[in-house]
Amino acid sequence: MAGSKKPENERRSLDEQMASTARELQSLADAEVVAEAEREIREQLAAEMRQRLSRAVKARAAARKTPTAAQAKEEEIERFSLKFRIQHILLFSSCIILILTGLPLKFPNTHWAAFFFSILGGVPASGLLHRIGATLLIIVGVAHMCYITLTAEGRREFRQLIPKPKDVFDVIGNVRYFLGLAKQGARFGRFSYIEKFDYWAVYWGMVVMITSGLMLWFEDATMRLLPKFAVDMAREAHSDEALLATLAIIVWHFYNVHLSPDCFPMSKTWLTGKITKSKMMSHHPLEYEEMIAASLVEDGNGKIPNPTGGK
Amino acid sequence: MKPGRLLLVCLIVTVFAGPALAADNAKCLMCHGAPGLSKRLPDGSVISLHIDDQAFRQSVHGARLCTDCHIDMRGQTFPHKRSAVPVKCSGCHFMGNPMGAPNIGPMTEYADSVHGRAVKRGDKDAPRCKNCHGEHDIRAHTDPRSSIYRANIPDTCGKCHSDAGMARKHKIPVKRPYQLYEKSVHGKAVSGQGLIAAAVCTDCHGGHTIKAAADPMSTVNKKHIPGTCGRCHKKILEEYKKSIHGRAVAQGVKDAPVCTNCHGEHGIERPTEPGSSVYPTHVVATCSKCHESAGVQKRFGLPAHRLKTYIGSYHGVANKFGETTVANCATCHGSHGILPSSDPHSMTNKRNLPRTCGKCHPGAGENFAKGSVHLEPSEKRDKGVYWVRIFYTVFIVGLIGSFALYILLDIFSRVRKRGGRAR
Repeated sequence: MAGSKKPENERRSLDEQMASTARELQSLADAEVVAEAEREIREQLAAEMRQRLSRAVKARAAARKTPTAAQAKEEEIERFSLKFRIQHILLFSSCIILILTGLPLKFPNTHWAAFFFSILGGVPASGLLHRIGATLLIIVGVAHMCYITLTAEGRREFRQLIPKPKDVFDVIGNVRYFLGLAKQGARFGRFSYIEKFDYWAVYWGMVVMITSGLMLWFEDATMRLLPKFAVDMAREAHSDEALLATLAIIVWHFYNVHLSPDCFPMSKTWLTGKITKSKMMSHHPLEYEEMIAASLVEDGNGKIPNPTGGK
Repeated sequence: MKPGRLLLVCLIVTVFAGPALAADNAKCLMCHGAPGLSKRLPDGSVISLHIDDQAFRQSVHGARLCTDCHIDMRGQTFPHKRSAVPVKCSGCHFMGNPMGAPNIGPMTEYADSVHGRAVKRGDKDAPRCKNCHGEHDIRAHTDPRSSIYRANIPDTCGKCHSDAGMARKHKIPVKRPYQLYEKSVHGKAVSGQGLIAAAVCTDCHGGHTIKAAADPMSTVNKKHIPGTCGRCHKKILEEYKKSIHGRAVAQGVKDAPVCTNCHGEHGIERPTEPGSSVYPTHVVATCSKCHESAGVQKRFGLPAHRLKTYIGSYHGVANKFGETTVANCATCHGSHGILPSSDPHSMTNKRNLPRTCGKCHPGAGENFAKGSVHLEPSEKRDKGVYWVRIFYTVFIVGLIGSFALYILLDIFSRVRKRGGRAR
């Protein structure tokens, strides 16, 4: 028996040996494969999270009718950094100066133009203010160029602002939604097409206004190189683009950040940089979902934050 | 003095002085030297009959006898029984008079004047010699105390020509020329600075010969104005004569402007005074009086929309709001010597534009002449500006229209949803 028992023992130990060897081999095996597998699992988890979150967000958005006191105190998330906000403040300050001192020149036959020049004491004073505003605008433009090239934050924001085919589909989707043809409006990421439009409109406007403005500011120098009709065209473009920009700001931007029932009388994000969780979920759901998912991937602790705004 | 006492005094004088003094002025002054001597007229008004002996002696006629002028009083017994008749100055002041009295040329000069004719018509308001020259106190026009001394002429004429009622009554177009003149560059020079070479009423209107402006013989009739002003402003007259306006006036074009059409007349001010019609901010309106008239534009083939296209420029806007350094009509086109741009000597001729613009824009070159100044964008001219404008019109209407539509849809959908929920 012992004879038969022995080989069996031997075999078992051999098996065990083989298994341990296999385990050893396994443990020695490429750690990357394990990590890969783990990441796959986590991503699956994140995707699942995202789906659940998106359902929760939709439910939350649907439930959101009148803000309650609890919601007023709800958690806020930083949307715009200080650098971002300072650029916006400088930009609109210069634009307000430029519009106030520029439009009376475009509409000189109105009472308000006469009133404006009477309180300011004439066109030269207004011209000086306009040039101060212009200088500020150029500074903001240059600063922004530095921001989107030299800072990591700026580069990240700029990438988010690049128009994508999704933006076109979002417009179509939202219009369909407004018309009652779709049950669901477009779901935005960090920047909606509304914000992207505002951004690129300023880009276009800055190029036209600064170029034509400098031509008019230094008209004698300009006319050393270009004929008078080029300066006249610059003046026409400057004047018309100014009107376009003013109307775009008043109609489009003001509606979206002031007059729209979503934010009347004013969205405070430009000042505080903060956005409430609920607003983020309704206005930038994709960004919110990504943010949560990213935080899950990073901690890997699987703790799901309450998407309905609880602490 | 009461008439009764007056009679008494005259009686005493007559008795004591006697006919021996008849030829002497003292005899008249016995009564007329009394400061209170006066007479009540049938209409109830009281006139003074007092003669200031001192003033009379200092007057140009101081050495004359009363009866030299009051010839109807010669040989009268005193007190004279009938009133003196008005003195006829032409008794002495005629051409070639033996007394050596300054003559006023043929009496027809005054008789033919607007005042002389009115007197002939029996107009009681019309001035006779005495109204301007005075009566017993007449002084030479060189005497600063004379009513017709240059510096005093405005006040003398102003006795009547400061009254709007008088002007209305006699249909004189300018109602208060005296007040206007006193504030004018000429009036201020004369009364303020004592520059008596500056124009007074008679320099432009004439004295004895004065005629209504509508009279073709008047020195202030439109066709004579350049010559009248040019008597002092010689160089400007020469320049004006060569200008398109001056040539037109010389050809008898009634619409063409003379000095006064741009500068005004009685109220004329220095171009640097904000009240002047040719002050930088007023030039535009002054030129536009004619150049914006469709009739004038049509008749003389002048380009239209000059004002609109100027106001549309930066120059125009700045000028409108009181900026005096920007170009106005006269800055580029000139003033007295203005010529059409087709004339090679014109400041606005293409060849001369760099120089004209260069007055304000240092270093202005040929590029200033490439393009128009009075922009009228259309498919034919100022095309560049036209297409920029078209582009932006389409752009603005399209974009803002889309925005408005989008916002309306947004609101519409919100309202519908709210309504849906309410139901």
